[in-house]
Amino acid sequence: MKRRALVTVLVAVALLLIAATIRSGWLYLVASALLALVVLGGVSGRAAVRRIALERVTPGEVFEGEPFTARLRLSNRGRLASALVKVTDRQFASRHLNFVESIQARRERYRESVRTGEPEAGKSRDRGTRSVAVERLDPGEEVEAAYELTAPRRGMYPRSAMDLEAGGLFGSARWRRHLQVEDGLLVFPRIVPIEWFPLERRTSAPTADSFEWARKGIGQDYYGVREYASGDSLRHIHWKSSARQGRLIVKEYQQEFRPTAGLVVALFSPDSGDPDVNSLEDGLRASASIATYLHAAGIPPWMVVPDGGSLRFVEPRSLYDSLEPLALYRAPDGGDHLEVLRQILQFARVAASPGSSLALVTNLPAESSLPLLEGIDGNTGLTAVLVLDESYGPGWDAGLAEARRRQICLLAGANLNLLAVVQGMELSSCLSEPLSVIA
Amino acid sequence: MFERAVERYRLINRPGIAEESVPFRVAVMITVLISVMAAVVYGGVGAAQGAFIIVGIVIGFYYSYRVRHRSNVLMKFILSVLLLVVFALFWTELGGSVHDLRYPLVRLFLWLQVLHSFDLPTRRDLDFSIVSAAILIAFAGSLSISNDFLYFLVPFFTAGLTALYLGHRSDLKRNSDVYIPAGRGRWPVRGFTVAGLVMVPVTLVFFMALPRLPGFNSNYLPVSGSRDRPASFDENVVRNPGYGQIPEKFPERPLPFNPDAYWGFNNYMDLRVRGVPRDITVMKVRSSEPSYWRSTAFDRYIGNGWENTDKTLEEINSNQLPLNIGYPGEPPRYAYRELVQTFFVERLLPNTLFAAYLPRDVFFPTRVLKVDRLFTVLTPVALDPGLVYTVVSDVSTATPEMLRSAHGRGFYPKGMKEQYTQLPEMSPRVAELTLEVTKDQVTDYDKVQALLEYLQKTYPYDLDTPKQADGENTVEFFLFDEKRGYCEHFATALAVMCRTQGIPARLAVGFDSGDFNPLTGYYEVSMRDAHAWVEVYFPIFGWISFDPTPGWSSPQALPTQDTTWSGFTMLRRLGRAIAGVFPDSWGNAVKAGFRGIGDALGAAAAAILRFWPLALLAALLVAGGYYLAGRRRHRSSRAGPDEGEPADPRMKAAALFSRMSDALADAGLARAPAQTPREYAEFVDHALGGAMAGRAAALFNRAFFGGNPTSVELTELETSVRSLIDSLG
Repeated sequence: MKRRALVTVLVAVALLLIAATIRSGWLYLVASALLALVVLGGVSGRAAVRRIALERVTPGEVFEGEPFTARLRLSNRGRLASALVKVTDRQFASRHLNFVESIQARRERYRESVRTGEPEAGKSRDRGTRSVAVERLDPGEEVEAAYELTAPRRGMYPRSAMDLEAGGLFGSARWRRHLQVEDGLLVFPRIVPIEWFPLERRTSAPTADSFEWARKGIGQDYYGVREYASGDSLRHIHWKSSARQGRLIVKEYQQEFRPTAGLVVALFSPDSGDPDVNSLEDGLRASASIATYLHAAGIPPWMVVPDGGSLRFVEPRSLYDSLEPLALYRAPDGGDHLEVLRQILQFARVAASPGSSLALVTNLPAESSLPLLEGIDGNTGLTAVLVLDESYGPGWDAGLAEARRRQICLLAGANLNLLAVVQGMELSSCLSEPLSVIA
Repeated sequence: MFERAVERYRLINRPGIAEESVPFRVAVMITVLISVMAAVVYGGVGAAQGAFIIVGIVIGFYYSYRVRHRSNVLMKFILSVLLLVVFALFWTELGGSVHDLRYPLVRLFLWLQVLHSFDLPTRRDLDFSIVSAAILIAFAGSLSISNDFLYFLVPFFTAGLTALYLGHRSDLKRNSDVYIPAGRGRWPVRGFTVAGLVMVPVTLVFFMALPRLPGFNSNYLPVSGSRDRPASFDENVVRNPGYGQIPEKFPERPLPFNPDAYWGFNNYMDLRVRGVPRDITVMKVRSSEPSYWRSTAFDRYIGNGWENTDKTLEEINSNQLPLNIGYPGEPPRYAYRELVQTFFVERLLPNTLFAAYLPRDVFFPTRVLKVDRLFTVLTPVALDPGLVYTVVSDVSTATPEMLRSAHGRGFYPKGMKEQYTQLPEMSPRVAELTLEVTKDQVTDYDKVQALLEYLQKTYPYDLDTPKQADGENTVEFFLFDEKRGYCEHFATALAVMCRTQGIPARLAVGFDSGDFNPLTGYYEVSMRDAHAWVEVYFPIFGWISFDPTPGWSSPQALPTQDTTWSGFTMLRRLGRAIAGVFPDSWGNAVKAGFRGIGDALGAAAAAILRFWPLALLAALLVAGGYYLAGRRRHRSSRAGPDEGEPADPRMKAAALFSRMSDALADAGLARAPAQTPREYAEFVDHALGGAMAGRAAALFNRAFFGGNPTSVELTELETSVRSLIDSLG
């Protein structure tokens, strides 16, 4: 019940008690009018919110942390005008604060207003919500409002929670309707610009220009002929040579070898951090940043990502294809994390062509994951990005971060390019500075 | 530590978010001023003090607006000091008016409004002003005893609702990120009108439905402030201002009739007087239950009138209230309860106290009263308009069983039988008739009751009863000649018939309870409510009232009428009030129509209350029907193509494909049970040409089987399905 309604009812009850005691009819009448006011507010509020239809339009795909414009359309489908209606977009609403937290938040707001010199905002207290108020909406009328929203976390948001509320003309009581507006919004992980990413390569063709050489394979260009062997496709039989030599000869084609890179994401449910900032989310941000970098470098990475209980191989045609699985990423379900990592690496090894570069992003502890990484195929260059889950816990500071990075570097073998993502450090610098450089 | 303390102090005392809406402030100020004016008009404070308060409030509101952005620490300090002063004055005043707390409370709220008006920076402060104004107008209403209070109440709610609207609007404007105004000139006049029209009946429904519960057991006992009445007086008889020049002794000729006064409020009652008193309000009574407001009684029947022969008046003196009357000449009695009544005199009345029988504690602005053995309480002067007094009475709660049981027990005080069974020379027919009527009754109570019922059933009530001869016995005239009459005839007949049986009886006069006005909560007593009834003495229980007039109930039977739902009488009064608005020239039909509607609604309400389980069942059935109809309407409104879709994206994809299959089936291309989506699509594309179904099937497969479909995929699928359905025509 709205505070105003509560106060009105309490005053009415107090007047009724006095009226009963001194038997004053006018007091009964005033109390009745106050109660009628509350009832009227509730009923007219309900009528107002019932006849309003909502539609929200968003860009469809956005990046977390980046503001985007949402357009809210309200239309009155009833026969009476609706007055003083408020819509609150709660899609990214913060969780409800308890009493102590709300006091602390209030103090923070006050400190901020003292620091900035701005009066305390009377706007939406929750920064994750946005509200639109319409003074009047006639029957059949439609209004549109635009406001900025910022998605705090990646993911698929198939619908938005909306609160539609009205208290009639007088606001004496409030009727609130909770709505779920269907409006698919895909939020990609935040991308930080990376100037350079130390992709490890184990082949002799480290540059993109020198990556191609003649080799039989499954390309388009002619490479040579050989005798037919069981299992060869009949389409590849070189009929002229076969006729000439009297036995079946098949054509071989030149292998189209281009530099390839794979991005392997093995991020598990974190043990520390908050829902928005933790090793899993930062790992995905790192993965998205690496994928973006590689796309820009012309080496769109194939990807191996766990999808709940299974593994998913993604061959991207565009950056969107790389970012989508990261946006929808679901950490592997329970089980032995190391075993899962082993399976992921096995899957990636099979998928990787010789000479491929692999980038692995994981938030498993270095001590347990590094031995697995050491055993990876020597033809595959591996760059491991370790997201240090412990850095998201309490008591972490820059000194500890430095010491930990050095310690991990010492743990790693020489054939491993190691990077570490630590809370509190710029993600771009974490992805550009191998631990070996630091060490 | 110190810094934290300073920060905490500043946090607590930081200025709130100032309310910028000037119209809102003005509307609140008008609301407050109306409540203040109502309190002033109804006597909360004097005119000069009222004017000062009003000016103070206006200045306060202006000042608050000007300094709304400042902390105003100094002003707050000054206001705090003044607040303490106001409270000190309130407590001081409270000690001197323990019998009526309303006036000190009203004065307290008035000064609080003045002080508060100087500190109204935020909307919350202004909201508090509205609440405070509502309390003040309610207290003003408690001081009002007339319907005129509506002249304040209607503007108060108009201004108050405007203030609430403006405040609500201002609140939304400030607390929303985007505010879309209605545009110029789009004031919600229609909305206001509709809200006002709806609010009136809803208020009335609440008003009628709210039970009139007994409330706290705190008697508040208003009495006019002035105590400069004489400390003693010589008057020993009732003096009626409307019959100022009448002889001391019972006259030979009938008294001239005065329509503005009742001839029974004298030292004797002339039963030969004819005439109907005017319907003018003489007083208003606040009482927790109805009763008869008795003035005096007569013990000696002289054939064509009554006389009060008791000249032994006892003087009751006291320098402080209440004046305790006691029971002169009567033994202690049993079975009674307390009834507090406050009388607000509106017209000049005789010098007797009107109160429910038997008055005990009197809060009257005098130091002396006189009382005779018939319980006529004489006051030093006539009751002036504006006089307020309160009486606490001990009203009898004796039940018929108790009164029957009193037969043959107890004793009559010395001389009582002789005094109250006295009869003049008259025809034996009266005694014979009485004997005939009471022949089967044993106890005095049953005899009285049998006579009462006989009179009520046999003789009609008629105010146009012709005059009797000057010397003719009224009882014989009534019982045997004219056979109709009004209250004095019925009461006299019953008293005389009781006396023929040796039952002590006397004639009492006063006013009946009057009409209860649910708006004010007062019984409105008209001169036309002047009434006569009978008091019969029962040992142990004292004098018990009986009313033999048809259409009236005996006073002790009145409280048994349940007043818990007395708000419903409002309907009857409303109909009568509307009927009263129309001029006489409109004819009686219109007036009678409204009166009839009001009466019918009142009767319907009474019937609902009587058969409330049935009414409740009917209400539940109606509510249930409405709910089901609403659900049905809601369901049918969800049947549109774009509504009611599942929230799960995979299910949404399935629903889209299903919609496509349904449309194709309607076009004669039904899907075989064993067909996969792709096979079905190939079949459709083969039949229709093109590749739309194949594309849709591919999109569906990707969306449904490829994990969580994205919004882009779903949109593509939806577009394909729509295109295909559109192509079907």
